[in-house]
Amino acid sequence: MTVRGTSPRTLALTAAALAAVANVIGASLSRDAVPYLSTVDVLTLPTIGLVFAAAAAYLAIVAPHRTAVLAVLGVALAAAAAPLALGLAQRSGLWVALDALPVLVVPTVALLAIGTARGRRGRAGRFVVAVASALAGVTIVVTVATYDPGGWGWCRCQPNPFALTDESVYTGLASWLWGAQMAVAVVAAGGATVELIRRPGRFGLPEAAITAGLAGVTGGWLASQAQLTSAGLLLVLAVHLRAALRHRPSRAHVADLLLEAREQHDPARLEELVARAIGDPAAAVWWWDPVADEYHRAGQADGDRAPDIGASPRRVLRVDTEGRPIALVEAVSHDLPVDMSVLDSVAEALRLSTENRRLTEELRHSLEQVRESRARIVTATDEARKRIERDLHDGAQQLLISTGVKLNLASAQSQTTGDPRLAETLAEASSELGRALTELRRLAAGITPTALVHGSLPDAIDELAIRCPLPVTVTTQGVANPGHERSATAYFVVTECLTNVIKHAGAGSATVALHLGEPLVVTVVDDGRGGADPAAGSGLRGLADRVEASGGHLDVTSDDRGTRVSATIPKQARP
Amino acid sequence: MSDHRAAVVVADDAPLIREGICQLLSGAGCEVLAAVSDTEELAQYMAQQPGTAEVLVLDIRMPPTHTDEGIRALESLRAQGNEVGVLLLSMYASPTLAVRALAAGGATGYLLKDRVKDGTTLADAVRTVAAGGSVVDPEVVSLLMASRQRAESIDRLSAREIEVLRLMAEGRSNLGISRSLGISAKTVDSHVEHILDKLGIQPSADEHRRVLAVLELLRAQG
Repeated sequence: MTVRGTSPRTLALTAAALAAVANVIGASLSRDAVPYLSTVDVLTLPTIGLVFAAAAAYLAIVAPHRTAVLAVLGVALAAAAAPLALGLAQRSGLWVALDALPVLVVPTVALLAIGTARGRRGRAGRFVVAVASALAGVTIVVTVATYDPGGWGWCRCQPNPFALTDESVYTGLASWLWGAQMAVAVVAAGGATVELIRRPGRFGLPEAAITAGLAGVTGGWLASQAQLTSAGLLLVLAVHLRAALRHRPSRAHVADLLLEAREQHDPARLEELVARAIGDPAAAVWWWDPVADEYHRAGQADGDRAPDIGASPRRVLRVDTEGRPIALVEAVSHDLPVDMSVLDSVAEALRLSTENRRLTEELRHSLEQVRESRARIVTATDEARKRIERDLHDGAQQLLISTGVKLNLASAQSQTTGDPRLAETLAEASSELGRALTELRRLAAGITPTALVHGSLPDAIDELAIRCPLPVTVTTQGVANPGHERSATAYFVVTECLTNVIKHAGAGSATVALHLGEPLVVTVVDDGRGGADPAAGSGLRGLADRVEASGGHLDVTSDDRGTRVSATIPKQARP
Repeated sequence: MSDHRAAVVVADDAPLIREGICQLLSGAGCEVLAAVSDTEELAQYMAQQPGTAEVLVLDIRMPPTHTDEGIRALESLRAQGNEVGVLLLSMYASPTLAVRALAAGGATGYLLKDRVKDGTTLADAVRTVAAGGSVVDPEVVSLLMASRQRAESIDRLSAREIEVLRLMAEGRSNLGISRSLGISAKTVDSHVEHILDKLGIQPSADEHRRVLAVLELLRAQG
């Protein structure tokens, strides 16, 4: 981007001051030169000139768009030209040149009009205005070179030192010059109006007002009605000022942009904020897509193309970080603001947003990996438990039972042989085997929630309650089926909590509340002495791990009135 | 118990246990018609030899899922209107499974697999089921009795009546109960009448009412 110092603004302010002085001098001189004219006629144009000069100064400060400031300055200076010419006619030969300048008013105001309305500028409008301006330039040059009323004795005024020809040439040209001036006005105003109408977007009130203003300026010019021209000029200026103020870059908008860029990355929303910050409602933000190796825009249409990186820095702000491209900000309605602090902040906001999005994605990815790995650990543990239980069932239990059958048969045989000691020994062996089987059953049941294999979660929890030596009340709400994994987690929560109640709580009773819904909630409450702390014991910590691995959370409150453990297990989005 | 040789089909995927059960039942005077290793083979047998089996001895956990195939086989038999006696063998003393088994209706038993090693318990249970009775494993019954959560209707029973109900639940006949408690059969009859009365079970075929009483006991836990 270009580095812009304060010099353009200083230049503009100086020019505005000069224009103002010129208008004041013009008013004063013409008042002296032609005292018979009415005050209104004398002061109309200088007043307009002063207003435009003030507006130019103001715009140069708050919304420095080069073309607009130049156009407003141009009108201010052109307005001073006629009164100055009138006032200087008897003092300086320059008056003829000054008198020729006002022909530039219509092209200048047409340029201002084109720069005011919404949307992307077409080339046609500018081209037409440029043609009109060139034609105006030609009329000025020809007039200055051929017109010398003082020299020819047409009036009591100073001769034109630039006049090259005699009276007859001018007489021959006069009607052509007049026609050329009319053509300048019609071409410039017409070109600007067509441009305004052709632009995409709504033809709104501002566009209507500008068109009316242009028509007034042109009509007043053609009919030599200074008041009408002045009214038109003021109307166009008013609409331009309104648009410029509305769209001027604002620190408040830049602050909004920075705040939102920190928190989110919604390309459409950021583009809107960038547009506000740089004061260009049509501004586009093109984000660099490292995968596609090109710039993209939110809601990009097929025909849309990112601007060239080498495009004019007045139009395109390129945002990079450490040599990597981030985004391009494309000014559309007018140039980018010259205020470096605005552009720097916009660039910083875009960097911030991209960086935040990258960090957020990395973090989310890491968290997802951690969550998946926790879930895998839980699943693997469950699988291992199931395998051990199955092995016990298919292996040890089968062998023990078949041994029991053989003992039984042996016992029957011993009865026929009538050896009482053998029968006794066999009975003892059978009884020990029974204890071994009971022990094995207890072991296997502790390894995996077998009750869940056969029944629903409420059934399994009822069985836990039945087996608990304390009175346990179970309440169940809802009928949803939480699925096997969540059921297993809830079951482990209740098992662990009831075990803690029996071992540590010294409780008189406990309640288990099961809410079968989304999420699944299971709450175990006892009336014991409290003191449960997930940070201290591995039991509750392990439980919390397991619940969190399922994407849920475990809440523990424990005081001298008892302990309450509640597990909330949401429906899983596990792959 | 009758002296009739009960015709039995055994289904268990564990070969050692399957053979053990067959040996025991043969030894205890039952006629083992077939021994199969899963419910599919069982269904084939039932289709090829309809009406021959009086009692099916089913392991609850069998292939393919190793969860509740035995009970599902029972439920599907009852759904087809087949009232053959079914004795389920379970690795665990689960009230849930016991309720599911008895709720299927008909002559049904639920026994821990451990009982296989005590030949007489298994054979007695097979005979009870063959005779149209129902059996619940003593451990399940103790579990239920030990539980403090008892519904009001069960609470209204006297200690002696609960004892009688518990033996009923285990599938004992009135005569068996009288022997076990050392009281007269007549006293047992009157206890049973009181129990059925207190539980609000309407008079009907005796065995059916006994099952309902046991179910009441089991459901009181739910």
